[in-house]
Amino acid sequence: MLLPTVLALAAFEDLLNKALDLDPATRQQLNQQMGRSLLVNVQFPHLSILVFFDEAKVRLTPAEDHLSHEATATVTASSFNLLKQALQRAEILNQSGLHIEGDILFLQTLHNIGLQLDIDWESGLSQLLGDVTAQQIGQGLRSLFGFAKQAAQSFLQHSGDFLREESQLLPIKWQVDDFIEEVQELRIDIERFEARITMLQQQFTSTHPNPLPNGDETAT
Amino acid sequence: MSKPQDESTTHFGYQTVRKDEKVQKVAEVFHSVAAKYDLMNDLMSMGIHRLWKRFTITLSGVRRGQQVLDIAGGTGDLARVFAREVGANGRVVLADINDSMLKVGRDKLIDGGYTGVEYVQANAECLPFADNSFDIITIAFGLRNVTDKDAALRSMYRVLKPNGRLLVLEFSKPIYEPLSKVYDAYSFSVLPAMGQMITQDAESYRYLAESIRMHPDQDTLKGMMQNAGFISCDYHNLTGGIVALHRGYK
Repeated sequence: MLLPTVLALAAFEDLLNKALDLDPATRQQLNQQMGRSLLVNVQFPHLSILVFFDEAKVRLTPAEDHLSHEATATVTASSFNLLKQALQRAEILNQSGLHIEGDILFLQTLHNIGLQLDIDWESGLSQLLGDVTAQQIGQGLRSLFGFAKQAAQSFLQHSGDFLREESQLLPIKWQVDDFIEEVQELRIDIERFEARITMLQQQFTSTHPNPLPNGDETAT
Repeated sequence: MSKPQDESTTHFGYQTVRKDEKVQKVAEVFHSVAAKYDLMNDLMSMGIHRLWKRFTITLSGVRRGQQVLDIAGGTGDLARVFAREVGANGRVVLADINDSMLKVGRDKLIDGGYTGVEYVQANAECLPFADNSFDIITIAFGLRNVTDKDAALRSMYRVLKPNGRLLVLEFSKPIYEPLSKVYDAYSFSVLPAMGQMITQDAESYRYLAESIRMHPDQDTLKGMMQNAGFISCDYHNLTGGIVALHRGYK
């Protein structure tokens, strides 16, 4: 795995844990999952991450690390977008394009914890700034985040619609999904084709151990 | 890479010296640079050594309660993070053959509030620990200074627990030719000048550049780890192969 990818993963791990420190209820629930791990595989773009639930810390490592640790559950999604959408729904199971293995109950528990995540900005800020200031900033942040979230969603929706429908600069989601599916089919076809060529080559070699007599090699 | 002349000699940079002489010479280098080691690392690598070390921590897969040994731990950059990560039930040992480096590292960690780290002056070739003691062993920018690298790798293998992992972060061979030329020019011109300016010791930094060139390349080191008994060995080139992180399991 490349240096920037691992560093981005490490930075995200720090950010995630700092956020969880501001939500003690969620942290406590996650602590109950200590010693368990979730392997997340995304096929397009290819990315595999092992999420390990340690004491008061969620650890993210490149999934090659599962060599020394067997994941409690594995989620495989064909695209990152699909994974993101699945995580936002109340029911994670039985979703098309999502392949799940291992302890399903553990996965559903994690999913429920994620849906209830509630970051206490004031508590975190009060450690730095004192209670009153923190409460004011916390309220500001909450409304700001609420507004920002709404504004961002609205902007994304409108700009997304414009780019997709009006300018046709971006493909529509179903087109992307179709494209990914076609790429995967093509990849499988190529692998089959490659295997067939290898098989034919082996058959040919076994029936014609010396295909060209000496002296004919330069004949063409 | 040229071979040492016989069994009793080895490399010290581009020179061939007696094995006992190398130990003495390396010790002199690190006694000389210990006080300004961190500052020089930041200047020489333009701060990138911190990213290489962060990469090492992530790939170590460290967990709460684990036993970690940081060999040639110098001024404690890795030990500090490991101490935080293993928590109160874990154990971190900072080992270095050089007492000046160990003193700087110990002062730095204690001043930073890290009181749980153990400090051991030890030679990597004969580590003073029981068999199967550690979950993780790291050696960052230290292996190239070890006289008998094979003996050191065998010693690390012995004290590592089954399924434990060794991580070797070390300067290596750049994989792109143009980068290699720029890097050579930087190493042999800028580094000694910088060393002279900051530590009044150009020679130590000339040794640094030479010792990097004499260090085994990526595949050779991987083979040495396999010979010592490590399995599933791999390496990651960082910054175009200027540095590589090798990893192996017991």
